[in-house]
Parts: sequence; C-alpha cells; structure tokens
Amino acid sequence: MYGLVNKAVEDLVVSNHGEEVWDRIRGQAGATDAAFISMDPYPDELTFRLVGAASEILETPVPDLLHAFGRHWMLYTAREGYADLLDASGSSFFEFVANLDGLHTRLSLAFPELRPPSFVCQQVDDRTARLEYFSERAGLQPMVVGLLQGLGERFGLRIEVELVEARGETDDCDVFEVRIV
Amino acid sequence: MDDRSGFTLSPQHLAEAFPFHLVVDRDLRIASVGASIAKVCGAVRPGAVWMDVARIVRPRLRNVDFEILQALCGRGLVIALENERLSLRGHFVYEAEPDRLVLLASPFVASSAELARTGLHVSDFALHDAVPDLLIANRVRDTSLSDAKRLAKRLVEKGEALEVARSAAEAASAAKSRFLARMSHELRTPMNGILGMAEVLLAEGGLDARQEDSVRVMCGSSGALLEIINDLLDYARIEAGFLELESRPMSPAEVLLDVVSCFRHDAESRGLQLEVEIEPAVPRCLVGDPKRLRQVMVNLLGNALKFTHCGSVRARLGFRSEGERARLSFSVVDTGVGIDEGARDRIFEPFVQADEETTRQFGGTGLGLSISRQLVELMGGELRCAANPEGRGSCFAFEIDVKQVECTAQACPGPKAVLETRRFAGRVLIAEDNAINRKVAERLLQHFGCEVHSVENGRYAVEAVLREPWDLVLMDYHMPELDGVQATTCIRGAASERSGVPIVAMTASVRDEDRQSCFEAGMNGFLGKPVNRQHLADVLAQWLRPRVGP
Repeated sequence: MYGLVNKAVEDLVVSNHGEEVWDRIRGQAGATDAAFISMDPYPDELTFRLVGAASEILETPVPDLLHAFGRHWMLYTAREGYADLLDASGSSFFEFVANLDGLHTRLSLAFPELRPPSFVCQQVDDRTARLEYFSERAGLQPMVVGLLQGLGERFGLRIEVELVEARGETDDCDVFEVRIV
Repeated sequence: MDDRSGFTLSPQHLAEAFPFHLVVDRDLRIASVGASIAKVCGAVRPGAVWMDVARIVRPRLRNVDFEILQALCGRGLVIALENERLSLRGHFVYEAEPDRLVLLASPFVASSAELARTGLHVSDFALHDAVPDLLIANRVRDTSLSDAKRLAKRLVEKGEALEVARSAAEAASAAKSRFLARMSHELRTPMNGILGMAEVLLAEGGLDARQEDSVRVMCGSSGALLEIINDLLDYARIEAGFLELESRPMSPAEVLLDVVSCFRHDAESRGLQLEVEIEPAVPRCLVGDPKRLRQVMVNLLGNALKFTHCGSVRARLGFRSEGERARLSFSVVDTGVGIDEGARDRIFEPFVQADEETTRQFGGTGLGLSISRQLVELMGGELRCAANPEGRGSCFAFEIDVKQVECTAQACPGPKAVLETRRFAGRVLIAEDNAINRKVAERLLQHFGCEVHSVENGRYAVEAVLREPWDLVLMDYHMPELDGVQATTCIRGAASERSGVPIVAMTASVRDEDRQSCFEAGMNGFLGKPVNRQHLADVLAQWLRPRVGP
C-alpha cells in the first residue's frame, strides 16, 4: 500500500494515543523508516503488521481498528489536501459511491502500483443501495463499513451498513446493504 | 460530423464525447451546448448571443465575427464563459453543412480546488478527457511536496535539537573542565605545603628513625594523592580532546629501565621476580613522547605488581620496522590473579575495576587503564589485555607508532645526574601569595644554598625586579594585584636592563593552556606544584651557578 495509508494509520494512533504509543507500535511492527513517504509504495504486510501491533498494544480487536481507520481515512485524506477532489467526486452520498470506481481508475494513473477495490452500486430507493465490494485483500470489510460511514459524515448523513453476503472461498465479493438513516 | 472514412458522429454521441462543446452559427448565436457547460453556466444556452456569454481570452482579438472565428479553426483557444465562471481550452472546427462552428473544449483548470469552485464533478468529464487525471497528478505532486517540506522541517528541528544538545554538552564539559582545573589548583596548593615541608624535613636530616619513618609515610601518602589528582586531570584532558602528545627524541629502553628501577625495591621486598627484556632491535633513540610512554609503563607495571602475590612480572620491549613505519611494542606479563575474560573489556572503562572485591582489596580510582588505553590510542596503537599465555595471570600489550632518528648525544640525552645533594649560588626572588607555599619554597631554596627573598603579589615582584638584581624569579600564577602572567608581561616590557631576568612559573595551575600562557608572557620555565625537589634542582642548575663550599 502507498505510504499515505500508513501515514493515516499513524495519524489515527497519534491523534488518539500520542507519539510514544505510535513509536511502540512502529517498533513492534518492525517499521524501520523514520517517516512514511505518501507516494512511496510499501508492502501490504507492513500495513497489516502495524494494524496487528496496534491491536495488541491498544488492546483493541483488529476489526474495531479497521472500522475506525475507515472513518479516519475520509477525514485524513480531506485534511491532507484531497478535500476538493472528494468534493468533485459526487454531489451526493450515493453519487459519490457510484463514482468510486471511476475515481479509482483515474487515481491509478497517478498511483501506478495501486490495487484498488471495485464497487458496484445499485440504488434500491432514495435512501438504500446494494453495494458489491470486490477486493483481492481479504478481511477488510470492517474498513469498508467505516469508510462508508466516514463518507456519510462528509455529507452530514448517518449511514447504516449491513453485510448481507460475505465472500466465499472462491469468491472475492462482499455485498452490503447501505442505508441513509 | 463526417470524416474521410465516412464516419458520422450523431449529436447524441457528440454530446457524450464532448460534454464541454458549443455550437455557434453564422449569426454568432449559440446553437447548442454540452451538458456539462449547461450544468454550471445557465446563461450559455441555445439562442444566447456569443458576445454576451463568451469571451476569447487567447489569442487576443480586436474584433469578433464569424469569419474571424472561422479563421481560428484548428488553433488553440482559451475562452471564458459567463463572466469567467468557467474557462475552457479547446479549438473550433468548421462544419460546412449547416455552416457553423463547433467548439470542442475542456475546462481550463489547474487544481481540484479550482474545479470545485466551478461546481463541476469528475463525472462531468468525458472518460477520455485527461483533465481530471491532470488534477489528480497535481494533487499528488502537492502531497509529495508536503512530504518533502515536512521531512525537511523535521530535519531542521532535529538539527536544532542536536545543536542545543551539543551546546549544552559543551557548556557542561567546559564547566567540568573549569571545576577540575579549580579543584586541581585548590588541592595542589595545600599539598605543596605537605609534600614540600616533608621533603625539607627529610633533606635537612636530624630526625630520629621513628620520626623519619613518619615523614616518609607523609611523603608516600601525598605522592599517592597527587597521582590520583593527576589521573583525574589527565582523564578530563583526554575526554575533552585537549591532551596533545610531545614529539621529541627519547630512549625507550632508558624510559623502561627507569620505570623498572622505581618498582625494583617493592618487587624484591615482596619476593617477586621483576624481569626486563629489551630486544636488541630496539633503537637507542626514537622520536615519541617519553613522558606519556613512561606513564603507560608505570601504570601497567604498577598494576601487574599490585595484583601479583607470588611469581614474576616480566616487561618486554620490542621493535619492528616496515618500510617507513616503525612500531615499538611493549608487554607486561604477570603470574598474578588474572582477569576473567568477561571483565577484560570492562576494565578499560573509566572508574571501573574488574570487580568490587578488587576495589575493596586493592583500592584505586579505576582511571589508570582507561587513561593508558587512550594514551596508547593517541600514540597510534591499541592496548590489549589477554590471559598469560603460559598459565595463571595476565598479559597487557601494545604497539605504538614511533619515528626513527639518528642517535646523537644531543638528540637523546642520557639520564640526568642526581642533583639533590648539589648546592647553588644566586639570588632568587619568590612571588607567591600563599604564606605556606612561600615558606615551603624558601625552605627548599635555602636548603639548596640560595639567597631567597619573597614578595606577596605580582606588583611587588615587578617592583623588586626593577629595583635590584636577581638571578632567578620563581613566579606564582594566581596572585592579587597582578597575577604571574601580568607581572611577567610588565617586567618583559619594562625599559630596564633587568627586564631579561629568568622567570620560571611555580604554580598549581598545571593545565596545558596555563603553561602556554606563561610561556607566551615571556617566562623561561614552568614548575608545577607540588614542587618536586628534583625538578626544582633541575631549574636551579639551569639558571644558577653551582655553590662551591658551604
């Protein structure tokens, strides 16, 4: 994953628990670089080790951390200068979600090693949609829930997300029902 | 639109492929508008007059009519719509049937913030339009710049923190050096009284055996205390990087034999064999620092004897020459208590001994080996410790760089004659503010047969020198009114035939910089306190005549 993701993990920990705790997490995860470079790709394993170490040190289950990270990601990227790009990606919550694939496609030009997930959004009614989530990375469903809820906050909405179909062993698709509350 | 292959783009496909297109008819009215323009520029609608809603920013035009716009076909344009609400970049194409111009364009925006201000979204662009990709690339560039700035700032902060820490460390080091210099001075001054008077008592004789024994204990204890002070000062100097080695002709064999002679009595009295082996290859003369070489040898031999209860201590001096490089080797092997392998590195650390039992049983500051190791390193070598290869005990060894020199009597003087029993004729002026030290110096000089007069500060010393003739002035450093350096400067600068009188510093300020400032002021010699009788005799022999008769 790109350094921007690891920096967001760092920001989440530091803003809630301080530098000292982050240094311990970094040390336990074996992150040797003094700082992450946003545009530099890092092995996925490093990010997973950071999350694992954070889970142990903060005594928080990994799914809870991933959920928190998903929400934080929206706040963090907006703060890091991507707010206008987010604003330009949709004028409503569902429009944004529907445009996510297009946004990721365009981002792949700037981030050539990006391996983004794919989202297919079918709106059921004004407040409900069925979202198919495809990713080569397993276990990140709680993060998707956090991302959707963090995105909802950008639009001043409270979002409920329910996993209605979990991926199987040969399938890489999870299906969520997304509702504006 | 029809190209040469007969391909036609329907109005619907045109609208999809170019959501930012405009069609202008010969009357310069807008015929149709792309959906994305219509989304944000309500006034740009079919029927609107071109001149009311659009302005060509580049190229600059004086007038606008259909022919002028037609002449621009294929040329890049920047066009502002609806009072700059949206800027477009594109070009006109002419459609002969039905005689109209079609503007094919994209928003002319440089950042996602600018795009957001227009009210457009990424989805308003055609999929093949690279403008959103450019905006993302610009955003990414800004992220990289932010990273670079953040890292640079962090570097500066770290650099500043390091600078603060360095300044604090330097200030602490300077304070420590000042403290050590002051303590050294304060300790040496009373020790001069103890050691000096004890030596005078011994030299003058007349003591019964018990009294002489007591005075010798005083001398020995004072000497031991002086060694500790010297060790502390040496350590501080080495640590601060102030210690500089001398480079002068010396005979390493004589240095070793001199050191061994100092320990011979102690070794024999304890039934230990003290053996010396000097390889024939060792040159008689080499260039090095005999004082510091002697210091290391004293430390290693002293330790070996201290920790050996039976058996022997063997000192060995060797030499090898490889091209222009000459190496002097020295080793001390003993049959003493030995040092555990795990403790062999530790014993070179300052204030550390092999174990607490060693400290209790044998005493010492734990500085000697640390100083020796650093002195050997300064001399281009490494001091190593190993087990005695022949069995019980230890072996300390080093090799140092030396320079070879042609051996002449002048280059390599032999051992000095013992002068303690000699007497000297001459008038000596002592400038010394401390009454005890004045008395010690007077007694020592009188013992050597000198005519002595004392003054209490530098000003009186200047007056006395200019008033009457002296053969030698012994000048303290720190004195009221004028200190020794200031007084010497006054004397040397005076228009008097007596301004060239020999002046030798006699001071407890023994740092290299103190010594240097004495010589810079014009002094001819330097004697550290506590004053050693032998060294004082050397100075007197240099400046006074030998006394013949009583």
